[in-house]
Amino acid sequence: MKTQCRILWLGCLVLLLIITSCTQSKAEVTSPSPTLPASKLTTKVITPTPKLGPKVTVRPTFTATAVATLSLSDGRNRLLDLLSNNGGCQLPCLWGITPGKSTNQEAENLLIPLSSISELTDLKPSPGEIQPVYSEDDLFLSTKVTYLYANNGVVSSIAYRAREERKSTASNGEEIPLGVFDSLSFGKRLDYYSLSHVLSEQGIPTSVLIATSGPPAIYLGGGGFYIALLYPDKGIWVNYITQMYIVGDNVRGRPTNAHVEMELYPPGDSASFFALLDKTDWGVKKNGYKPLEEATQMTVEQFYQTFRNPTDKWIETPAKLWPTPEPSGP
Amino acid sequence: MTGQMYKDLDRMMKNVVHELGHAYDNALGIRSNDSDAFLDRDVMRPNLCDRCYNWQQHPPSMDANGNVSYEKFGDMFIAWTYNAWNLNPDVSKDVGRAQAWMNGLVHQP
Repeated sequence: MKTQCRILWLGCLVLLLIITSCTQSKAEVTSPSPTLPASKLTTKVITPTPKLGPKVTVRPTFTATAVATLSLSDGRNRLLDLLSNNGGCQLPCLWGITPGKSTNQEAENLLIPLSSISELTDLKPSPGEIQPVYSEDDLFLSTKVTYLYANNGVVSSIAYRAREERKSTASNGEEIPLGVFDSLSFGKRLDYYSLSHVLSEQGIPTSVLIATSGPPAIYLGGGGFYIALLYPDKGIWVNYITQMYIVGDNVRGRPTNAHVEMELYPPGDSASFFALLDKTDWGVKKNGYKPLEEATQMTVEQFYQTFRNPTDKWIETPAKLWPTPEPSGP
Repeated sequence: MTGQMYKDLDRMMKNVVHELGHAYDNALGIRSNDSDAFLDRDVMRPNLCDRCYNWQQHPPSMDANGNVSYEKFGDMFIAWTYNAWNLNPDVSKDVGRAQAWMNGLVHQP
C-alpha cells in the first residue's frame, strides 16, 4: 500500500518535474565529495566520516568505558598489526572477535581503539560497525567490520571487507573512489586474508564459485571478477574481487592482491550457515555465480593445489559462459 | 539514461523512476551532493548479477559514474519509491539512515 501510494504520488510529481527538471543539468554538479585526509581525522569515538559529514546524524553510541582511543599513528599501526596476524586468532574469529563466543562488549573493547582512524564508528545497538582506513599517498586501504549480536550480547556473525581505493575525478568533476587491484602493498598487508593463506589455513573448501561481469569489459577499477569460497562447517564465506580482463574468448582474473569480503559465523552448523548467509547480499548475488567446475576446467582439489601457495596464476573462464543476461523481474 | 535497449517493462519502469529521481534532484537543487553519505553504502537491494538491473540502474560496476552521488541518488529514489531497500542485516543501520534521509527529502502527501 505504501509502495502504491508512492508510485501514485510519483505520477503527480511527473507533471511538476516536466516543468522544472530541465532547469539544471547534471553537468552543473561541481562540488566534489570531501576526501579523507588522515590528518583531519579526530580521535572521537563517533568520528563523522567526511563522506557522512554533518549531513547524517549518527546516534551517539559511546558509553563509559576504560578502553581508550589510540592516537592516529598508533591506530594506523594497530590496524596494520591486526591485518597481518588477524589479532592472533584463526577464522572465523576476526581480530580477536569470535562468532558465537565473544560478547559485544569484548568486540567494542577491541575496536574502539581504532576509532581514531575510522570513517565511522557506530557500535551500539546491533549491528556494530567500524571502518578503519589506512591512507598512504593517494591510496586508501579501507576496511569495514560489522557484527551482529543478540540480546544476550553474544556476537552471532561478523561481516568483514577490505579493499584498496584511489581517489579519481569523474567526468562531472566529482571525486570518486576507484578500486585498485594491482597494489602490491595492499596484497602484502592483506596477506593473512589472501586466497593462498585462507586455503593453506582452512584447507579444501566445500565449494568454490566464480562470477564475472564480462564481456563486455567494465571500467578499470571496477573489479568484475569474483571468486567465492564456502566453508559451511567452519562458518566461513570469503569472496575475492579482482579486475576482470578479456583475452580472446576468455575472461580472466588474478587472485593476487584481490579485495576481500567475508561473512563469518559460529562453526559447526552448516544449516544455520546457509540460512544466515542467505540473508546477506549473497542470497541474491549467488544467482550470478557458477560452480568452479562449470566455469573453468578445474576441480576444487586442483584449484586448492594451484592456489594454496602464493602464485601469479590467472583464473580463466570462457566468455561464452557469461552472456549478457536477460532482463528479469524483481 | 542508462537503460536503453531493454525490453523488459519492469526494468523500464525502474529506469524511468531512476531518471525521475535525477529530475527531482535537479528540481531540488542537486541534493544528491548530500547523498555522498551513502556513496559506498550498500543500502539498495542488490541486483541478481553484475549486469542485471533488477533494482540498481546505475551500479558502481557499470562505469566510473556508477560511483558518483547523482547516480546513487537515482537508485535510492527507486529504493524509496518501491520501499525496496537492502534486507541484509549487516547494513540495517545504513538502510535506516538512508530511509530517514529520503523521507526527509521527498515530501509525501
